[in-house]
Amino acid sequence: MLAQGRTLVARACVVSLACLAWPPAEAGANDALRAESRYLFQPVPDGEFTAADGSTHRLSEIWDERPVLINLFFRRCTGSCSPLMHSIKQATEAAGGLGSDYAIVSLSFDPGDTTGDMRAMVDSLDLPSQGAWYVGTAGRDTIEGIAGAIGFWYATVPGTDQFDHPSLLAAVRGGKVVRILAGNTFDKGRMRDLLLEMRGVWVPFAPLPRGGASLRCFRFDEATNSLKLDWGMLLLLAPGCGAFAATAVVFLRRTKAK
Amino acid sequence: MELAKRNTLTWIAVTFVLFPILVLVGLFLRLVQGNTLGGAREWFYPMMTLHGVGMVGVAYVGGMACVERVLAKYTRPSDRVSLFAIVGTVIGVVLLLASVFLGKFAAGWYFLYPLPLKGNWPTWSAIVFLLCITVLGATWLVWCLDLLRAIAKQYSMSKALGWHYLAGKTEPEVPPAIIISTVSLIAAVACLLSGVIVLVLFYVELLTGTVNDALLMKNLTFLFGHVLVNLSLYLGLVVIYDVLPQYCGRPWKANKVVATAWNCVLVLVMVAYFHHLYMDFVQPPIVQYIGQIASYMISLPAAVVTIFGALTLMFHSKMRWTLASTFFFLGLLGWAIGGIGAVIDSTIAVNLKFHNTLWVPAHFHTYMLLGLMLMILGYFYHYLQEASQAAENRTVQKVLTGLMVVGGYGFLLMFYLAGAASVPRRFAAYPLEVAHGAGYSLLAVGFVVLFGIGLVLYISETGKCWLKAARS
Repeated sequence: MLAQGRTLVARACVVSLACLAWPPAEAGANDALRAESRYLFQPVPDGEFTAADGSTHRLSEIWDERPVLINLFFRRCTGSCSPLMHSIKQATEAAGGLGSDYAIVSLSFDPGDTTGDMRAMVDSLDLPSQGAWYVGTAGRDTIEGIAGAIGFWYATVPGTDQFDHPSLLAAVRGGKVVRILAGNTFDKGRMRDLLLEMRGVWVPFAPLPRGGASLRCFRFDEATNSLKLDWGMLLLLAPGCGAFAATAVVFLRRTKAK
Repeated sequence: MELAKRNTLTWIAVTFVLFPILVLVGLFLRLVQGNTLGGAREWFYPMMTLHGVGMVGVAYVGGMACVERVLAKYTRPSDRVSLFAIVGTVIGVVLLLASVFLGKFAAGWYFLYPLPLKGNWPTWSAIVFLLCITVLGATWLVWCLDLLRAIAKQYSMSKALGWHYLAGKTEPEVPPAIIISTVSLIAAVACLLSGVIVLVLFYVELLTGTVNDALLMKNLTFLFGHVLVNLSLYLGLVVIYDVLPQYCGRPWKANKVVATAWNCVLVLVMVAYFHHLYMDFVQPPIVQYIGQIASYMISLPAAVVTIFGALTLMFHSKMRWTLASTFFFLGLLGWAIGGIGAVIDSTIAVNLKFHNTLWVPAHFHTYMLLGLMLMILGYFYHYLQEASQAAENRTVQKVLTGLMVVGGYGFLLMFYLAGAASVPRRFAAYPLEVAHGAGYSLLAVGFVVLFGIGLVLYISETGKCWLKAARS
């Protein structure tokens, strides 16, 4: 009987050890993980580009001075490229600080685009002057390096002169990606948050797509970049206060009855 | 039969029916996680919701039923309100079953906003679930207020909270059960009010489309959920303070230390829940620190005073070991072990690693299953034994106790080990990265079966007393 018991315990121990020794499998490629977090704080390869005015620059020259927003586009795009650039322009005008606090680099990924095309782009969108917003072309290596660093991709659409591609705007500080926004339009709020993060200010709150809630615990004060108590906090105090009030009423009724 | 006794027997019957069924639901969850019952995987989350709400509810009503009987020694709780609580609880259970089985509602027991409104289930099932919580919350709120009313009939507020002990007086003597019950019931009213606010905000969003603040909803939800679970444990301690002395042959009197401890608990229990929001980076850091400090501090008055009190009470006493006193002792043990696990998890630096791993269900199953439930089952046996005067079968009692302890702690050990090995909680199927979780689940299944056999033996043993008490 005792021997049987020992055998049972020994078997249980073996099974337990086998279970504990079960090695965690290697994380495989998972498409679900393809997200902004995959690229955050990764370095962007340095590279040279030619601006619309014909001058050449290195990306590191710009991000060593101040944070930079980078987007990739092509001149003949009949889809999202121009609206995206226009949206960035409007959002930066509303948020302010372009040229002083940060710069923008918009590079064409289409090998067919020329410096003249870039000039035409600047003129047609009435973009700010050099030193603030660089629109230009770059070699294939530079474009591929940037695209790989921010999760951008492009592919020709057969039978057309168009490319299939996402609409991305990457914020780069000190040569590293700190934020990537996706979408064809950027409003003032998103741009403001992006600019704060580029300066290294942590932004804990993001606006809700459907608009804000009327009762909140805290609100984010944009002027001071700080949290303030909001009316919803009263709701958090209500249960405790209500319980003590109800208890007091129950016991006070007893005193009066006596 | 008098209504009070009938109500208590009904509460015991409700617990004896629901608890084993919910254990089986838990067994189902671990079987699915062990990669068996693959075809039933779609039922994992509805069953997890049922298991969570059901177990929390059973523990709470079981604890309240015990406290009601204990308080009846000193006060006169309303039997009609107790009957009302039984009816309300049964209606709540029916609504829960409809929501889960017909609507496959699967947002988990604390229905964290906005999941109930966003899940892959029909809106009506979410509404039925919210109605279930509304009915249960309203019923239990009335029940709590009635017990407070009963205490208020005999004691002033300052006496019921033991404030005269704090002032250095020793007279009049107030039983510790009264002080702890008052503290627990005030906390219960607070948490149920918080639940009411959450539900109102849910209904407003459902009716008007107004967006709620997720952080506010989460704070309110955990003020409701955490405090409800926490005070359920204190309901079990009311039993320990009041009944354990009968088995030790010594009185357990209230004094300045006991009164101070439980008044501290009343304040701390309201803010300790912040530790559930460590991962919510928008919660200001000061609130997170309050959560950790309160979580540490609350363990001192409640646990240390009670455990040292119980041990000194038992030390060198002529302890009468029965199924009831054994369960009380084991319940305190489980509460202490689970409490340590909870304090570890409430440490911010540790929580960064353990958050949402199986460590979390490990610690709360420890103090709920092998803590509170043992105290409740022990009290039920104590009550039925006294009411029926049935003969005790010591051999069966030893066997069932052994099975429940070995099965229970084995089951918990698998949770703890898996949690420490980074296996996440609430996963129906483990991805490759944490595939080792399936092994722990299967081992846990074996231990749950052992626990279940012990539980069946307990119910058959206690059921005989129940039948005799019901007939007498």
